[in-house]
Amino acid sequence: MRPPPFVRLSPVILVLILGLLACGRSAPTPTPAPSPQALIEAATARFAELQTAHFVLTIEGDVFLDPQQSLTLRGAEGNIQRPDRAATKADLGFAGATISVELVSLGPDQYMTNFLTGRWEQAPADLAYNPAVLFDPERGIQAVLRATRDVTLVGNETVAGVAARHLRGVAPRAAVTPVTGAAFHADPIDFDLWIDAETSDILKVVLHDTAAAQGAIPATWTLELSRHNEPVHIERPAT
Amino acid sequence: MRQLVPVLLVVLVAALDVTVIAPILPAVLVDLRVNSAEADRYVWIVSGYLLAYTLTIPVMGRVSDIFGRRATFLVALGVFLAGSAACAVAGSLPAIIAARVLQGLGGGAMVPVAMAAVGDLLPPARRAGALGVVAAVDTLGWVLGPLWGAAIEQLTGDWRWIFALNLPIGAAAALVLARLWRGAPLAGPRRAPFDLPGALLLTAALLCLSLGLSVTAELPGGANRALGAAPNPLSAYRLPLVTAGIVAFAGLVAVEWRAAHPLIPLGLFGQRRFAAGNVTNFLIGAALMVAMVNVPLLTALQVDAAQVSRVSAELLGTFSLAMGLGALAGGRAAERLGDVGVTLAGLLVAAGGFWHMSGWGDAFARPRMVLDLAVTGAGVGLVIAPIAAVAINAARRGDLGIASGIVLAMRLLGMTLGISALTAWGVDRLNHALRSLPPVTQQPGESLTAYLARQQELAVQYAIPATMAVIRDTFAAAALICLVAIIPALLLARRSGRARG
Repeated sequence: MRPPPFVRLSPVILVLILGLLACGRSAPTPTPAPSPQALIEAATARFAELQTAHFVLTIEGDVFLDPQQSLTLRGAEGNIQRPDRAATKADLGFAGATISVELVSLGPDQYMTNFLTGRWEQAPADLAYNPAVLFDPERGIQAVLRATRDVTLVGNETVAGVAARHLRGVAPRAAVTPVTGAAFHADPIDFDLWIDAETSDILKVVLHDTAAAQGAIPATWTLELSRHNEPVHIERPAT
Repeated sequence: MRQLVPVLLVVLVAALDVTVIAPILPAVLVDLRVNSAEADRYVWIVSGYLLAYTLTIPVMGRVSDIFGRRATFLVALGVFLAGSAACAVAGSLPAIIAARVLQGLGGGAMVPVAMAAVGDLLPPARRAGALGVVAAVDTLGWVLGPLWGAAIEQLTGDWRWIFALNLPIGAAAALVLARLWRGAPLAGPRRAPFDLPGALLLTAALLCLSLGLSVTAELPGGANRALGAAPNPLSAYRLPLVTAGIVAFAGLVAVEWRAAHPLIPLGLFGQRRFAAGNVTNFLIGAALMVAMVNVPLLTALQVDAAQVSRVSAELLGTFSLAMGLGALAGGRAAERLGDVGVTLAGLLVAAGGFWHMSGWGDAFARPRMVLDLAVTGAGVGLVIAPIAAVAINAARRGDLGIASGIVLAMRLLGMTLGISALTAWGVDRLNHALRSLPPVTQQPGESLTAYLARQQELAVQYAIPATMAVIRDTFAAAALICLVAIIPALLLARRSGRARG
C-alpha cells in the first residue's frame, strides 16, 4: 500500500521548513573567543564581588588529616558568606566508618562538632583552617587565580545546565595551600576551571595532585560552586 | 520451554539484585559518603528494593491479565533496566534509594508475569514443573546474589558495574523475547477485574509502616547524633506514619472483605494453618535479613576496606548456601518426619545459630563466623520449605496460585519490616551509647594533632566496639524472633475442619 501523499512529501516539507528557518536568521557574526588570561581576570573580578555561595567538595584519592594516616577527608559541603562566615559539613573516613564533622566560622570564632558525640564545642585554638579564607583577596581564590600559569581554553561546555568556558593550567602549590591546607604533594598543581560564559562566576574547579605519600592514592579535588549571591544564614551554634 | 529461557535469565538477574547489595553495601556507603550512624536511612538501599519487589508481586499478575503478558513483561523489564542504570550512576543516597525502588518495581513485577506466562505457554501437564523451575531460579538468584556482587566488585574494583552489567543482559533478553514471543499463545490485553482500592491501600499501608518503623526518636532541638550523623527528617512523623499505616491496613482488610475480586483473598487467612504458616514465614524473613545486612556491616569494621566485599561474600555465601541446602533437606525431611517437627527443629537451630553469632568478638574470626553462619543458614532453610508447603496445602485448590504468592510476599515483607525496625532500634542504642561517653575536650596547651589523636583513641576504644556490640545485639534479637516464631509454628499442627476444599 502506498503511503498517503503527505507522508511521502514529509522529507521535502521538512527541508523546506528548515530552509525557511535558516533564511529567516541573519548569518551569525563570529565573535572572537576571549583569551584565557582575559577569562581568568574576568573570573577574578567577578569573585571579588561574590557575597555568598554554596559549595560541594568531592575528593577522590587519599587526603589524610593526621600524621598517623588514619583519618581521611572524603568531602565537604556548605555555604560561605563574605567577608568571613562559613558553615561546613565535612565527611571523614575512620576505621572503616564514615563520620561527619560540622564547622561554623564567624570571623575569628570557630565552632565544630565533636566527631564522637556530635556535640558542638569551641574549635581547637590552633585549628589552622578557616573556610572563609576563600574570600581573602591575598590568600583565597582570587590569589590562586592570579597565580595561575600556562592557562589554555579547552572549550565551551555546560556545567549543571549552565554554559561554561573550560580552562586548564597550573597553579603553584604555595598559592593553593592556604585554601586546601597542606594536602597537596605535587608542585605546581594541575587544574581545570569552568566559569560561567555569561557572568564569569566560577562554577567548578578540579585540582589534580600527581604525587602522594607512600602507599596513598594521589587525590583529585572537585569543588563545585552554586547558588551565587543567594541569601544564606550562618549562625552561632548552641555549644 | 525454549520461550521461557530468556524469561528465566531476567528473573535470575532480578533475584540476584535482592541480595547483591549486601556484600557491597559498605563500599557503596563509602563511595556516596554516607555517615555510618545514619543506618535508618541507608537501610533503604536494601529495603526500598525489597518493599517495591514485595508490592508488585500480588499486583502485577492481574495487571498482565489486563494489558497482556508480553507488553507487561517488557515494560517491567524496561523499568528494571532503567532502575539498574540509575543505580549505576547514582551520586547520592536519595538517588540510589530512588533507583533501587525503581529497580525493585520492575524486578518484582517480572516474577508473577513470568509465572503467568508459563500458564499461557505450556499445557497443564507441564505447568507445575515449569513453575517450579521459575521459583527455583528466583531462589537461586537470592542465594548467588552476594557471591555475584562481590565477584563483580572485586574484578572491576567498582560496585557500579554490578548494576551496569544488568543492562546488556536485560537488553539482549528483551530483544530475544520480543522476537520469540511474537505470535506466541500469550494472553493478550483483555477486560479483567482489578482491585485498585486494594492495591492502593496495600501500598499505603506497607510504605507508611516501613517508613514509620525505620525512624528513631531524635534529640531535642534537632541536634546531631553521635558520629556527626544528621537527625532523620522523618522522625517527627514517626507516630503519624505508623498510625497511617495501621489505618490503611484496616482499610485494606475492610475493602478486601467486600471486594468481588480481592487482591488478597482474606478468606485464606481463615485457614488456621495458612495463617500460622504465613506468620512464621514473616518472622523467619525478619530474622534472615538481619544476617544479610548486618554481617557485612560488622565485617567492614573488622577487616581492611579492600577485603570487605570478598570476606562478606564468603560469609554470606556460606549462609545462603546453607539456607539453600537446608531448604532441600527440610522438604525431604518433612515428608518423613512431618512439617511441624522439621519447622520447630529449624527454628531452634536458627535461634541457636543467631544466639551464637551474638557472641562474636571484636576481632575477625573467620572459622567461627563461617561455622555459625552455616548453622544459622541451615536452620532458616529447614523452616522455609515445610512452612511454605503447609500454608499452600492449607489453601483450596483454586487459590493455590495466590496462596503461593502470599507466602513469598510475607517472607519479603518480614525481611523489609524486620530490618527497618531492628535498624531503628540499633541506631537508637548506638546514639545513646556514644552520646553518653565522657566528654572529650581539648586540654590547655594540647595541640590540635594531639587532641585529634586522643579522640581517635577514644573512638577505637569505645565507638567502634559500641557499634559492633549494637550489631551483635541485632543477632540476639534475630534469635529471639526465631523463638517467637515457634508459637505460630506450633499452630501448624492443628487441623481445622475446613482445610482443603
